[in-house]
Amino acid sequence: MSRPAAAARRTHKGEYIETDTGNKISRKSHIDGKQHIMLGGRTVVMAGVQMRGDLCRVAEKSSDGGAEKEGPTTAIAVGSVDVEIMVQRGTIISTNSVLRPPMRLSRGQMTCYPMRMGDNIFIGPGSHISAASISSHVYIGANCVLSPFCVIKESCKILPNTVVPPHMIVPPGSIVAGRPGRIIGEVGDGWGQGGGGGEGEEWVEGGDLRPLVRSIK
Amino acid sequence: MASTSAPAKKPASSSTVPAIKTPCRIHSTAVIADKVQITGPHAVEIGENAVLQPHVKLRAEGGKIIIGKNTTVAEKAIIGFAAGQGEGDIVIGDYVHIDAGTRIEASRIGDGSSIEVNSVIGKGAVVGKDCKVTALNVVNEGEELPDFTVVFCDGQRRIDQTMKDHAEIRTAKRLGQERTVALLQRLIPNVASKWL
Repeated sequence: MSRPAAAARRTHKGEYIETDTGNKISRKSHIDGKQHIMLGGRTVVMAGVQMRGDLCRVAEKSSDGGAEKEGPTTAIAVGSVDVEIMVQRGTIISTNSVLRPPMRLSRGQMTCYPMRMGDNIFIGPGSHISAASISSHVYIGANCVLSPFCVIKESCKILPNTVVPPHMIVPPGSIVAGRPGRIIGEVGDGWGQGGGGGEGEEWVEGGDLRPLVRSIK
Repeated sequence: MASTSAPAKKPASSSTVPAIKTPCRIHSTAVIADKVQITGPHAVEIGENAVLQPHVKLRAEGGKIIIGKNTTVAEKAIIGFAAGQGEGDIVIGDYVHIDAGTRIEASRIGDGSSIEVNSVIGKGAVVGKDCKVTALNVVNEGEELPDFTVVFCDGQRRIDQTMKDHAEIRTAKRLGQERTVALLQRLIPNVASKWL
Protein backbone atom coordinates (compact mmCIF):
# COMPACT_ATOMS: atom_id res chain seq x y z
CA MET A 1 0.00 0.00 0.00
CA SER A 2 2.88 2.31 0.60
CA ARG A 3 3.92 2.46 -3.05
CA PRO A 4 0.93 4.36 -4.49
CA ALA A 5 0.91 6.70 -1.53
CA ALA A 6 4.51 7.63 -2.19
CA ALA A 7 3.75 8.23 -5.86
CA ALA A 8 0.79 10.42 -4.94
CA ARG A 9 2.96 12.45 -2.66
CA ARG A 10 5.48 13.02 -5.40
CA THR A 11 2.86 14.72 -7.56
CA HIS A 12 2.34 17.30 -4.80
CA LYS A 13 5.97 18.42 -4.75
CA GLY A 14 5.14 21.89 -6.06
CA GLU A 15 5.10 25.00 -3.94
CA TYR A 16 1.41 24.74 -3.20
CA ILE A 17 -0.53 22.10 -1.35
CA GLU A 18 -3.92 21.79 -2.98
CA THR A 19 -6.88 20.66 -0.92
CA ASP A 20 -10.05 18.92 -2.07
CA THR A 21 -11.96 22.20 -2.18
CA GLY A 22 -9.32 23.81 -4.35
CA ASN A 23 -7.50 25.80 -1.70
CA LYS A 24 -3.86 26.33 -2.55
CA ILE A 25 -1.63 26.81 0.42
CA SER A 26 2.05 27.52 0.04
CA ARG A 27 4.46 25.31 1.92
CA LYS A 28 6.31 28.47 2.89
CA SER A 29 3.34 30.08 4.63
CA HIS A 30 3.27 30.32 8.42
CA ILE A 31 -0.08 29.25 9.75
CA ASP A 32 -0.67 29.12 13.50
CA GLY A 33 -3.75 27.56 15.07
CA LYS A 34 -5.01 25.95 11.89
CA GLN A 35 -7.96 24.38 13.71
CA HIS A 36 -9.43 27.87 14.02
CA ILE A 37 -9.08 28.84 10.35
CA MET A 38 -11.72 28.08 7.75
CA LEU A 39 -10.96 28.43 4.07
CA GLY A 40 -14.02 28.33 1.83
CA GLY A 41 -12.42 26.89 -1.25
CA ARG A 42 -10.32 28.23 -4.13
CA THR A 43 -8.34 30.34 -1.72
CA VAL A 44 -4.67 30.91 -2.40
CA VAL A 45 -2.32 31.46 0.52
CA MET A 46 1.07 32.45 -0.84
CA ALA A 47 4.57 32.13 0.60
CA GLY A 48 5.45 33.99 3.79
CA VAL A 49 1.85 34.67 4.73
CA GLN A 50 1.32 34.68 8.46
CA MET A 51 -2.12 33.66 9.70
CA ARG A 52 -2.72 33.93 13.44
CA GLY A 53 -5.49 31.43 13.95
CA ASP A 54 -4.27 30.86 17.48
CA LEU A 55 -5.67 34.24 18.49
CA CYS A 56 -9.19 32.93 18.89
CA ARG A 57 -11.95 33.61 21.35
CA VAL A 58 -11.41 31.54 24.45
CA ALA A 59 -14.28 29.79 26.18
CA GLU A 60 -15.04 31.49 29.48
CA LYS A 61 -16.47 30.00 32.57
CA SER A 62 -19.88 31.45 33.40
CA SER A 63 -20.60 32.67 36.91
CA ASP A 64 -22.54 29.56 37.95
CA GLY A 65 -19.46 27.44 37.51
CA GLY A 66 -20.41 25.51 34.40
CA ALA A 67 -18.73 26.14 31.08
CA GLU A 68 -20.58 28.69 29.02
CA LYS A 69 -21.95 27.55 25.72
CA GLU A 70 -19.58 28.90 23.14
CA GLY A 71 -20.01 29.21 19.42
CA PRO A 72 -17.35 27.95 17.08
CA THR A 73 -14.04 29.52 17.94
CA THR A 74 -13.14 30.47 14.42
CA ALA A 75 -10.48 33.11 14.28
CA ILE A 76 -10.19 33.65 10.55
CA ALA A 77 -12.87 32.74 8.03
CA VAL A 78 -12.12 33.23 4.36
CA GLY A 79 -14.79 32.76 1.74
CA SER A 80 -18.47 32.12 2.29
CA VAL A 81 -17.99 29.07 4.45
CA ASP A 82 -21.56 28.72 5.69
CA VAL A 83 -23.37 29.76 2.55
CA GLU A 84 -24.84 27.03 0.38
CA ILE A 85 -23.59 28.46 -2.90
CA MET A 86 -20.51 26.48 -3.73
CA VAL A 87 -19.24 28.51 -6.66
CA GLN A 88 -18.08 32.13 -6.77
CA ARG A 89 -15.13 31.70 -4.52
CA GLY A 90 -11.56 32.60 -4.87
CA THR A 91 -9.58 34.77 -2.55
CA ILE A 92 -5.91 35.45 -2.96
CA ILE A 93 -3.63 36.32 -0.08
CA SER A 94 -0.31 37.44 -1.54
CA THR A 95 3.19 36.98 -0.21
CA ASN A 96 4.28 38.19 3.22
CA SER A 97 0.83 39.37 4.29
CA VAL A 98 -0.21 39.04 7.92
CA LEU A 99 -3.74 38.10 8.92
CA ARG A 100 -4.27 38.77 12.58
CA PRO A 101 -7.67 38.73 14.28
CA PRO A 102 -8.33 42.01 16.13
CA MET A 103 -8.57 42.16 19.91
CA ARG A 104 -10.14 44.62 22.32
CA LEU A 105 -11.31 44.88 25.90
CA SER A 106 -14.70 43.38 26.52
CA ARG A 107 -16.18 42.96 29.98
CA GLY A 108 -12.84 43.72 31.58
CA GLN A 109 -10.97 41.12 29.58
CA MET A 110 -9.01 41.33 26.39
CA THR A 111 -10.88 39.28 23.80
CA CYS A 112 -10.02 38.32 20.25
CA TYR A 113 -12.74 38.74 17.66
CA PRO A 114 -13.16 36.59 14.57
CA MET A 115 -12.24 38.00 11.20
CA ARG A 116 -14.62 37.35 8.33
CA MET A 117 -13.71 37.60 4.69
CA GLY A 118 -15.87 37.15 1.61
CA ASP A 119 -15.17 35.90 -1.88
CA ASN A 120 -12.99 37.19 -4.68
CA ILE A 121 -10.82 39.31 -2.44
CA PHE A 122 -7.33 40.12 -3.54
CA ILE A 123 -4.87 41.03 -0.81
CA GLY A 124 -1.64 42.55 -2.08
CA PRO A 125 1.84 41.55 -0.93
CA GLY A 126 3.08 42.75 2.44
CA SER A 127 -0.33 43.81 3.72
CA HIS A 128 -1.37 43.62 7.34
CA ILE A 129 -5.00 42.70 7.86
CA SER A 130 -6.69 43.07 11.25
CA ALA A 131 -10.12 43.97 9.92
CA ALA A 132 -13.34 42.81 11.55
CA SER A 133 -14.82 41.94 8.20
CA ILE A 134 -14.04 42.26 4.53
CA SER A 135 -16.89 41.71 2.07
CA SER A 136 -16.68 40.25 -1.40
CA HIS A 137 -15.01 41.73 -4.49
CA VAL A 138 -12.56 43.87 -2.57
CA TYR A 139 -9.16 44.68 -3.99
CA ILE A 140 -6.42 45.54 -1.49
CA GLY A 141 -3.13 46.84 -2.87
CA ALA A 142 0.40 46.14 -1.71
CA ASN A 143 1.69 47.11 1.76
CA CYS A 144 -1.69 48.21 3.07
CA VAL A 145 -2.48 48.21 6.77
CA LEU A 146 -6.06 47.45 7.76
CA SER A 147 -6.15 48.45 11.40
CA PRO A 148 -8.16 46.53 14.00
CA PHE A 149 -11.95 46.43 13.62
CA CYS A 150 -12.20 48.24 10.32
CA VAL A 151 -15.01 47.00 8.10
CA ILE A 152 -14.65 46.93 4.34
CA LYS A 153 -17.93 46.53 2.45
CA GLU A 154 -18.45 45.10 -1.04
CA SER A 155 -16.55 46.15 -4.14
CA CYS A 156 -14.04 48.48 -2.54
CA LYS A 157 -10.61 49.25 -3.79
CA ILE A 158 -7.82 50.05 -1.36
CA LEU A 159 -4.84 51.61 -3.08
CA PRO A 160 -1.29 50.53 -2.17
CA ASN A 161 0.35 51.85 1.05
CA THR A 162 -2.97 52.84 2.60
CA VAL A 163 -3.43 52.77 6.36
CA VAL A 164 -7.11 52.24 7.10
CA PRO A 165 -7.68 53.59 10.63
CA PRO A 166 -9.15 51.44 13.40
CA HIS A 167 -12.95 51.01 13.44
CA MET A 168 -13.38 52.72 10.06
CA ILE A 169 -16.34 51.49 8.05
CA VAL A 170 -15.79 51.76 4.34
CA PRO A 171 -19.11 51.92 2.43
CA PRO A 172 -19.64 49.76 -0.67
CA GLY A 173 -17.90 50.80 -3.84
CA SER A 174 -15.36 53.23 -2.36
CA ILE A 175 -11.77 53.86 -3.29
CA VAL A 176 -9.63 54.37 -0.20
CA ALA A 177 -6.12 55.82 -0.13
CA GLY A 178 -3.69 57.70 2.06
CA ARG A 179 -2.27 57.64 5.55
CA PRO A 180 -4.68 57.72 7.33
CA GLY A 181 -7.01 56.20 4.77
CA ARG A 182 -9.68 58.45 3.31
CA ILE A 183 -12.38 57.78 0.79
CA ILE A 184 -11.20 59.48 -2.36
CA GLY A 185 -13.78 58.27 -4.84
CA GLU A 186 -16.06 55.57 -6.07
CA VAL A 187 -15.25 52.61 -8.21
CA GLY A 188 -18.20 53.38 -10.48
CA ASP A 189 -20.24 51.09 -12.66
CA GLY A 190 -18.65 48.10 -14.24
CA TRP A 191 -16.24 47.41 -11.36
CA GLY A 192 -15.18 43.85 -11.62
CA GLN A 193 -16.91 43.21 -14.91
CA GLY A 194 -14.09 42.99 -17.32
CA GLY A 195 -14.63 42.22 -20.93
CA GLY A 196 -11.04 41.16 -20.58
CA GLY A 197 -8.31 43.77 -20.55
CA GLY A 198 -5.45 42.87 -22.80
CA GLU A 199 -4.09 39.64 -24.08
CA GLY A 200 -4.05 36.99 -21.37
CA GLU A 201 -5.77 39.31 -18.90
CA GLU A 202 -8.59 37.05 -17.94
CA TRP A 203 -9.18 38.54 -14.52
CA VAL A 204 -9.95 42.05 -13.37
CA GLU A 205 -9.64 43.74 -10.00
CA GLY A 206 -12.75 43.10 -7.97
CA GLY A 207 -14.03 40.62 -10.49
CA ASP A 208 -14.07 36.88 -10.50
CA LEU A 209 -10.64 35.73 -9.42
CA ARG A 210 -11.09 32.13 -10.47
CA PRO A 211 -8.93 32.39 -13.59
CA LEU A 212 -6.14 33.86 -11.50
CA VAL A 213 -6.52 31.18 -8.85
CA ARG A 214 -6.35 28.58 -11.58
CA SER A 215 -3.19 30.08 -13.04
CA ILE A 216 -1.30 29.88 -9.74
CA LYS A 217 0.55 26.61 -9.55
CA MET B 1 26.36 32.94 31.17
CA ALA B 2 26.01 29.46 29.84
CA SER B 3 27.94 29.47 26.60
CA THR B 4 27.76 25.76 26.01
CA SER B 5 27.77 24.74 22.39
CA ALA B 6 24.23 23.49 22.29
CA PRO B 7 22.71 23.00 18.84
CA ALA B 8 21.52 26.52 18.14
CA LYS B 9 18.66 27.02 15.69
CA LYS B 10 20.78 29.44 13.72
CA PRO B 11 21.62 28.28 10.22
CA ALA B 12 25.33 28.00 9.58
CA SER B 13 25.90 31.52 8.30
CA SER B 14 29.09 33.04 7.00
CA SER B 15 29.59 35.01 10.22
CA THR B 16 32.81 34.46 12.11
CA VAL B 17 31.05 33.71 15.41
CA PRO B 18 30.63 30.00 15.96
CA ALA B 19 27.09 28.71 16.38
CA ILE B 20 26.85 29.19 20.12
CA LYS B 21 23.66 29.44 22.06
CA THR B 22 22.78 33.03 22.87
CA PRO B 23 23.10 33.63 26.60
CA CYS B 24 19.50 34.29 27.58
CA ARG B 25 18.08 35.39 30.89
CA ILE B 26 14.35 34.87 30.65
CA HIS B 27 12.03 35.58 33.54
CA SER B 28 9.90 32.60 34.53
CA THR B 29 6.65 34.42 33.72
CA ALA B 30 7.75 35.49 30.24
CA VAL B 31 6.19 33.74 27.23
CA ILE B 32 8.35 32.85 24.25
CA ALA B 33 6.39 31.32 21.40
CA ASP B 34 7.64 28.49 19.30
CA LYS B 35 9.40 29.65 16.09
CA VAL B 36 10.96 32.66 17.80
CA GLN B 37 14.53 33.10 16.66
CA ILE B 38 17.17 34.36 19.05
CA THR B 39 20.62 34.65 17.52
CA GLY B 40 23.96 36.26 18.23
CA PRO B 41 26.65 36.08 20.86
CA HIS B 42 25.42 38.90 23.12
CA ALA B 43 23.15 38.59 26.12
CA VAL B 44 19.37 38.69 25.82
CA GLU B 45 17.30 39.62 28.85
CA ILE B 46 13.56 39.23 28.87
CA GLY B 47 11.57 40.66 31.77
CA GLU B 48 8.55 39.36 33.61
CA ASN B 49 5.30 38.86 31.67
CA ALA B 50 6.93 39.79 28.38
CA VAL B 51 5.43 38.01 25.38
CA LEU B 52 7.28 37.16 22.18
CA GLN B 53 4.86 35.96 19.53
CA PRO B 54 5.73 33.53 16.68
CA HIS B 55 8.38 34.48 14.12
CA VAL B 56 9.90 37.28 16.15
CA LYS B 57 13.60 37.65 15.50
CA LEU B 58 15.91 38.84 18.23
CA ARG B 59 19.34 39.43 16.78
CA ALA B 60 21.86 40.03 19.52
CA GLU B 61 24.65 40.31 16.94
CA GLY B 62 25.77 43.84 17.76
CA GLY B 63 24.97 44.17 21.44
CA LYS B 64 22.71 43.21 24.29
CA ILE B 65 18.94 43.17 23.93
CA ILE B 66 16.91 43.93 27.05
CA ILE B 67 13.14 43.65 26.97
CA GLY B 68 11.19 45.03 29.94
CA LYS B 69 8.17 43.94 31.92
CA ASN B 70 4.74 43.42 30.29
CA THR B 71 6.09 44.13 26.83
CA THR B 72 4.57 42.37 23.84
CA VAL B 73 6.35 41.82 20.56
CA ALA B 74 4.11 40.71 17.69
CA GLU B 75 4.87 38.36 14.83
CA LYS B 76 7.58 39.10 12.25
CA ALA B 77 9.09 41.92 14.28
CA ILE B 78 12.87 42.10 14.04
CA ILE B 79 14.80 43.51 16.97
CA GLY B 80 18.51 44.09 16.53
CA PHE B 81 20.99 44.29 13.70
CA ALA B 82 22.11 41.64 11.29
CA ALA B 83 25.67 40.48 11.78
CA GLY B 84 28.10 43.26 10.91
CA GLN B 85 25.36 45.82 10.29
CA GLY B 86 25.81 47.79 13.49
CA GLU B 87 26.67 47.77 17.13
CA GLY B 88 25.00 48.90 20.31
CA ASP B 89 22.71 47.68 23.01
CA ILE B 90 18.96 47.79 22.56
CA VAL B 91 16.88 48.52 25.64
CA ILE B 92 13.11 48.19 25.39
CA GLY B 93 11.21 49.47 28.44
CA ASP B 94 8.17 48.20 30.32
CA TYR B 95 4.62 48.10 28.90
CA VAL B 96 5.86 48.57 25.35
CA HIS B 97 3.72 47.29 22.51
CA ILE B 98 5.63 46.33 19.39
CA ASP B 99 3.37 45.41 16.50
CA ALA B 100 3.83 43.06 13.56
CA GLY B 101 6.56 43.49 11.00
CA THR B 102 8.42 46.30 12.73
CA ARG B 103 12.18 46.67 12.56
CA ILE B 104 13.73 47.96 15.76
CA GLU B 105 17.35 49.10 15.79
CA ALA B 106 16.84 51.83 18.38
CA SER B 107 19.11 52.11 21.36
CA ARG B 108 16.20 52.79 23.69
CA ILE B 109 12.44 52.61 23.63
CA GLY B 110 10.76 54.20 26.65
CA ASP B 111 8.09 52.72 28.89
CA GLY B 112 4.53 52.58 27.60
CA SER B 113 5.38 53.34 23.98
CA SER B 114 3.71 51.60 21.12
CA ILE B 115 5.33 50.91 17.78
CA GLU B 116 2.73 49.98 15.20
CA VAL B 117 2.67 47.78 12.13
CA ASN B 118 5.61 47.75 9.72
CA SER B 119 7.28 50.86 11.13
CA VAL B 120 11.05 51.21 11.35
CA ILE B 121 13.05 52.65 14.23
CA GLY B 122 16.52 53.47 12.94
CA LYS B 123 19.90 52.77 14.42
CA GLY B 124 20.66 54.50 17.71
CA ALA B 125 17.32 56.30 17.88
CA VAL B 126 15.90 57.05 21.31
CA VAL B 127 12.14 56.85 21.67
CA GLY B 128 10.80 58.49 24.84
CA LYS B 129 8.10 57.35 27.22
CA ASP B 130 4.50 56.88 26.09
CA CYS B 131 5.32 57.58 22.46
CA LYS B 132 3.38 56.22 19.57
CA VAL B 133 4.79 55.48 16.15
CA THR B 134 1.87 54.72 13.87
CA ALA B 135 1.83 52.26 11.01
CA LEU B 136 4.40 52.46 8.19
CA ASN B 137 6.30 55.37 9.77
CA VAL B 138 10.05 55.69 10.09
CA VAL B 139 12.09 57.14 12.94
CA ASN B 140 15.47 58.06 11.48
CA GLU B 141 18.87 56.93 12.68
CA GLY B 142 20.02 58.66 15.83
CA GLU B 143 16.79 60.63 16.19
CA GLU B 144 15.50 61.37 19.68
CA LEU B 145 11.78 61.49 20.21
CA PRO B 146 10.77 63.35 23.40
CA ASP B 147 8.24 61.76 25.75
CA PHE B 148 4.60 61.62 24.56
CA THR B 149 5.48 62.12 20.88
CA VAL B 150 3.13 60.76 18.25
CA VAL B 151 4.53 60.05 14.79
CA PHE B 152 1.57 60.02 12.45
CA CYS B 153 0.46 60.46 8.82
CA ASP B 154 3.49 60.67 6.60
CA GLY B 155 6.13 61.29 9.25
CA GLN B 156 4.57 64.27 11.07
CA ARG B 157 5.26 64.61 14.77
CA ARG B 158 3.32 66.15 17.61
CA ILE B 159 3.14 65.88 21.39
CA ASP B 160 0.14 64.02 22.77
CA GLN B 161 -0.98 66.63 25.29
CA THR B 162 -3.85 64.51 26.60
CA MET B 163 -1.49 61.69 27.42
CA LYS B 164 0.96 64.14 28.97
CA ASP B 165 -1.57 65.91 31.21
CA HIS B 166 -3.60 62.98 32.42
CA ALA B 167 -1.88 60.33 34.48
CA GLU B 168 -5.08 58.27 34.57
CA ILE B 169 -4.96 57.78 30.80
CA ARG B 170 -1.46 56.43 31.09
CA THR B 171 -2.59 54.11 33.88
CA ALA B 172 -5.51 52.90 31.76
CA LYS B 173 -3.18 52.24 28.85
CA ARG B 174 -0.92 50.15 31.05
CA LEU B 175 -3.90 48.25 32.38
CA GLY B 176 -4.95 47.47 28.79
CA GLN B 177 -1.47 46.22 28.08
CA GLU B 178 -1.63 43.99 31.16
CA ARG B 179 -4.88 42.50 29.90
CA THR B 180 -3.35 41.89 26.48
CA VAL B 181 -0.48 40.08 28.14
CA ALA B 182 -2.93 38.00 30.20
CA LEU B 183 -4.76 36.93 27.03
CA LEU B 184 -1.61 36.13 25.10
CA GLN B 185 -0.28 34.09 28.00
CA ARG B 186 -3.38 31.92 27.72
CA LEU B 187 -3.25 31.57 23.95
CA ILE B 188 0.41 31.18 23.13
CA PRO B 189 2.19 27.98 24.13
CA ASN B 190 5.34 28.81 26.03
CA VAL B 191 8.60 27.24 24.96
CA ALA B 192 10.88 29.53 26.96
CA SER B 193 12.66 26.51 28.41
CA LYS B 194 14.19 25.91 24.99
CA TRP B 195 16.28 29.04 25.37
CA LEU B 196 17.44 28.58 28.95
